[in-house]
Amino acid sequence: MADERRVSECLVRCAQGDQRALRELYVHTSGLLYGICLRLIRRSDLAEEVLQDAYLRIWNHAASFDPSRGSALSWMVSIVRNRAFDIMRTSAYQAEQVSEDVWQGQYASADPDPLQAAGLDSDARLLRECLDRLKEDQRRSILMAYYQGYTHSELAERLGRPLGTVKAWIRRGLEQLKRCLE
Amino acid sequence: MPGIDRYQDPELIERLAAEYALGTLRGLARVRFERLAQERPYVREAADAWARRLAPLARAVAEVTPPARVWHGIEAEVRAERALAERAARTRWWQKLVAWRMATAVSVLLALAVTWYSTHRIESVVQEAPEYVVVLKNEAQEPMAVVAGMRNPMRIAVNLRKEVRMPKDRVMVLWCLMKGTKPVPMGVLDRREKVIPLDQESWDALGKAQGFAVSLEPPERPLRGGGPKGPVMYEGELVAL
Repeated sequence: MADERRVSECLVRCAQGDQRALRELYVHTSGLLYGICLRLIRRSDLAEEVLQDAYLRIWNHAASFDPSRGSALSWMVSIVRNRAFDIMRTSAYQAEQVSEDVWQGQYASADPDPLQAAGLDSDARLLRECLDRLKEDQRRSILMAYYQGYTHSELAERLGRPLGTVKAWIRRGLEQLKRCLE
Repeated sequence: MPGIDRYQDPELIERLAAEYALGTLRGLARVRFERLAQERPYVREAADAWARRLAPLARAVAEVTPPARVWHGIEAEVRAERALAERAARTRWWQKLVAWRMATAVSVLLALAVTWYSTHRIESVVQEAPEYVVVLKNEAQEPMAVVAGMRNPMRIAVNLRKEVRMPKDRVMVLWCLMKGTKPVPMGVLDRREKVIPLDQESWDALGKAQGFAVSLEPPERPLRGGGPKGPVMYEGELVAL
């Protein structure tokens, strides 16, 4: 598990051009970031490409990380997710998407809700409790959107419900989540 | 409606920030929100707060060790970029020396050149009739840019209808869309009027092109092949005149 302070220190050194810090950062965080990529993209070749691009971006923009805005790891996660979303929009990706069944067979770790796992910290436990209070449809669509990167219309298609309904589930689910977490 | 800034509505900002963190805000809407967050502190705060709320979701994902080739690729790129930067730094030093010696002469020449350039270049573009034209349109089908292909010398001229305010971490890349192959990157559009010189092969290929597109790419390797990776902003069909 990546240690926040260590990640933050590595980023500071990356901003100064220290290539050993980049290596250290990679050793500590690439497992998690690759796991996130794979879940979103479900194709290892593209997930590798996203991961490589993301680390180059992290290296080149390390100086713009602002600790007052949030954690170093979250900053890196958002870079990876953004890069993944860019790739998921391309027509090459859309044409060759791996089906859910094949994917589930290939990667046993792709369970739909990793927050169920044991060993959660207090923030994660609170989020878990708040997610549990949502209606099943709201919770499921929020988790599918976050982990599998589905858009509103992809969710509507997969869940077999009208677009407006799915949008409302997500909107209300997020509003309720915010109130619960406060 | 003019005069009304819908992004001052806190409920809207809250909703956009939540959907941004969740990942359901995509494409241009995503880019627009990022720009808004750069410009307005209250948008940034809402975005950061939502990122914090959902952060445990990412941390709970099971780790998967990536293949060693990913790290090798990163290392090679970092090394290549560093070599490029060093070469650029050397050139700049040399240029500075020359510039210092010729400062006076250059400033006079520059003033003349700017005057000549601004009056003659536009005319020369107009005087030579283009052989190919593409009108690039946005999602709303509004014309946003014109691409003209001219033979003497072989080049394409790109003219953006208005200044596009870019997020700091994206550049606009022009793509030539070809039948049967992947789009070919033509160049970075870093100013409103851009002329891209073509060799004979590219000129011949232009005759077989279907059209052009403009996408937003990360600045690290904007011109690598394989087609646009970022969101496509404008597209248009090629017309041979």
